[in-house]
Amino acid sequence: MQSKSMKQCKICEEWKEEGIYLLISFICTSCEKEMLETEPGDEHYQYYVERLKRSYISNLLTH
Amino acid sequence: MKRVWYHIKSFFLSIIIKIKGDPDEIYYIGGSEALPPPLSKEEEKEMLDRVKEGDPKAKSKLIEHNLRLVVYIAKKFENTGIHIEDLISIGSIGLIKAVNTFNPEKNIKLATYASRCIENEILMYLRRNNKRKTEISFDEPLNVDWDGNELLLSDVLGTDENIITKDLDLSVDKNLLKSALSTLNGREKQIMEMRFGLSGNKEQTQKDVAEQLGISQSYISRLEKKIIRRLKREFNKMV
Repeated sequence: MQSKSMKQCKICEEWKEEGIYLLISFICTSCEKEMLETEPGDEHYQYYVERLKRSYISNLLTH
Repeated sequence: MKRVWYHIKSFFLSIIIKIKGDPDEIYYIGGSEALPPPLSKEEEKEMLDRVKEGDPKAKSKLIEHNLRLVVYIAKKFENTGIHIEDLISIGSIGLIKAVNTFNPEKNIKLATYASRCIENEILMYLRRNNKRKTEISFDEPLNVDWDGNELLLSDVLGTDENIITKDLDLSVDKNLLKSALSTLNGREKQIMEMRFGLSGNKEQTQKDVAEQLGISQSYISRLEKKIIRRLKREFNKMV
């Protein structure tokens, strides 16, 4: 059972307490940190791009 | 039709937000025009102070209220062949980086700094992407035959058979030639060196060599043939 303060991270899909919101998408602190350290061209970069896309931020923004 | 679908989606999103509750953290988004507007100078300062104290809600607010910038900048790169949704995702990463690295003590507005970060992030992505476009996998199928067998790039790629031994052979040949040349007398050696540039000089024509040595070209020609025959013999003895 998840506690009420736990939110599911849109990147790693784990339930975490701390993080930031990108509109309605919650991103946990550890994913945010990893994202900050990743540069375009890095192996993991495209993964973050895809996860952000999937978290339907872009759908909200482009219509 | 697109507009109707959009309104339906917006409606469901607003329901999701209501169910999730927590109005402090989540904002209702009604479309690109209704993205959170830029914060006032005072609000922005307050949020930046709260970010300094480690308040994640303030950080979220700063990010969300600058998302219009992301959309605006991403749209400038729409003609690059990268889908707008990717561009917005990349721009969002740039914005998150901007909010995390912004130094309010420097005399620059957050929006200015964030714009640079967003644009840089997209430009860097485009550069890396263009570089990758020119790369091709060894497993790239070039063709498929009637039986469905793929002809891969690795099937047709190869190296010249002697690519490894070529340099080695050349150096052995050079040494053999040196030994063979040492069996010649002074003038014969000089003729070969002048004609074939053996001692690092430029190759010269029979006519040039003949003029320099004060003998006829036909004599040089005869001597050359004789010397080459001798060198061949010496070579054959050595190998």
